[in-house]
Amino acid sequence: MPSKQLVYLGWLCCLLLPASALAITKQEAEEKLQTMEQDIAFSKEQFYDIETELSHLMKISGYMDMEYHVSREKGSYPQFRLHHFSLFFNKNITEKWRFFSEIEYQDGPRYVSCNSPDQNQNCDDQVTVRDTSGRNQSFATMKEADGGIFAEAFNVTYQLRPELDLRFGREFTPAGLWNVDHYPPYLATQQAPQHIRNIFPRTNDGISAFGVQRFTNTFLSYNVYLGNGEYNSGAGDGNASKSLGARLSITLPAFTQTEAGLSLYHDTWNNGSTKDATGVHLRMKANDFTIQSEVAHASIEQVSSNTVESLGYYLQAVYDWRAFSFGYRYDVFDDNTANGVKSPTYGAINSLIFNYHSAKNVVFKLEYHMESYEDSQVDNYNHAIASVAVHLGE
Amino acid sequence: MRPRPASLTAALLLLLAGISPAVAESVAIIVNSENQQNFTMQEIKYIYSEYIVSWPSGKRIERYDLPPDDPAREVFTRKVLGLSARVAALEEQSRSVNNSARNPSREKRAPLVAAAIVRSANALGYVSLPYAQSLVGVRIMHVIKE
Repeated sequence: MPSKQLVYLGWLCCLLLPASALAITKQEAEEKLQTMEQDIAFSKEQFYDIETELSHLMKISGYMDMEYHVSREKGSYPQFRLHHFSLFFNKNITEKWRFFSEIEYQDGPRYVSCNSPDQNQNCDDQVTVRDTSGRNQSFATMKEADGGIFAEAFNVTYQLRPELDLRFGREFTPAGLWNVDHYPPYLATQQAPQHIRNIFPRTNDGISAFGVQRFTNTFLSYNVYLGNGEYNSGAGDGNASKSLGARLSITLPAFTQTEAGLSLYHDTWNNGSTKDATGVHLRMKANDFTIQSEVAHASIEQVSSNTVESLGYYLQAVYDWRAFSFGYRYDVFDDNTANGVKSPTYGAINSLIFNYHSAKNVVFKLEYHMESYEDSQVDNYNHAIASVAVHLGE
Repeated sequence: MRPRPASLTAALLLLLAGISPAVAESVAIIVNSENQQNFTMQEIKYIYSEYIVSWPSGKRIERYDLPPDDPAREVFTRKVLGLSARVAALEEQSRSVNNSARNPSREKRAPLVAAAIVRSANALGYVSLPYAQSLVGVRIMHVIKE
């Protein structure tokens, strides 16, 4: 036999030997396949089990935003502002019950007690509190405080029916657009329109009923709420009457989406004054173009029978192009208007807006505001804010 | 054949920019094969805007979304919601953080969306059409052509 053929034969034996050694019977193969199928089924079940467990855990998320201000206002310096650091805690307690809270740390808060070893000075003031065993104990009071900590929201929601939810606790007052969708990572500007929180209160402590009712391709969102009213702490109410408010909003299939609505509010303050506020809002989306506007009016009848009226409105247009947003806003507020006559507090702000969404959760904003006031004693000025807002979550 | 300098430059620019040209393709809205209930495209829009939260049977819709970087999501949000995937994802996230979400979506990659739909008769989602056609246990409710 020629040597070349011997070499081929040797190679063939080498190749076939391991294959024959690894060969398994059909029965063995079927058993292995069955084991693998069982493993896959087990892994799937485990995955869904973990997913179900995760969906019932308390979720912690939040946001932060930081700003750099440059202003032509007299006495103002270029400055950084650690505006917000907020933590959200939410939990689906059961299929019907869910919990939500927001703790906001504003302007980098710092609280120092007189007992802190960092304090060299003596604090004379003390506060006496009853401890858990019922004995009185004295503690030193606060020495220093910067910024603020605010439990902006904490509530539980119960879904009575798919179209009706009940909420108990503190929530953002459901009024207009900005007060509802108000978180910096999702807003075009850091500076809110002037009338926001000056006509409708920021939060409501009490109960609310809300939901959506469908009429073919039109949806009516409603929210009716009852609370302690303005100028009360979370500890209670300083008067017998409760504040009452409502927000109605219709979503129409016009353009990409159109929402128009009405907000109402009535409250009697602890000093006896009564406040009635009314607002209308409109938001239209046409592909990448969004226009939103709010008009709000408040009438405060004081105990002295004097009536103070406030009026605010804005119109904002934003165009989204890829990761960028460009916009403009015209914003007016007068907190003491009468019969349509401008008061010295009348202010108008023209704003130019630029946003860059560098990632789903990160937005850089540049906004330029041109502020002018009716009061001749107040200087008109321009200012700019560069900021970054980050959502801390999934 | 020598490659044209222009196409070489374009390829190089894409490479440098780290951009992989996404292949946009038709998208299928899918449900469990046992689920014979239907929604119109207008209703699908309102499901993904959280105005409609239940099936006609009254069961809650288990709504699935693809991640914003999936080309199928861009096609879906553009054609159904009239928004870019980025803006649609931001709106979804905004509803979630301001506590107004009525039926939040679960964001998963396509194989997990498909697996969830095969598993649950109340699930609704969308994936690319070729992928949907390869699946067993799902029914295509609508096709959205690119």
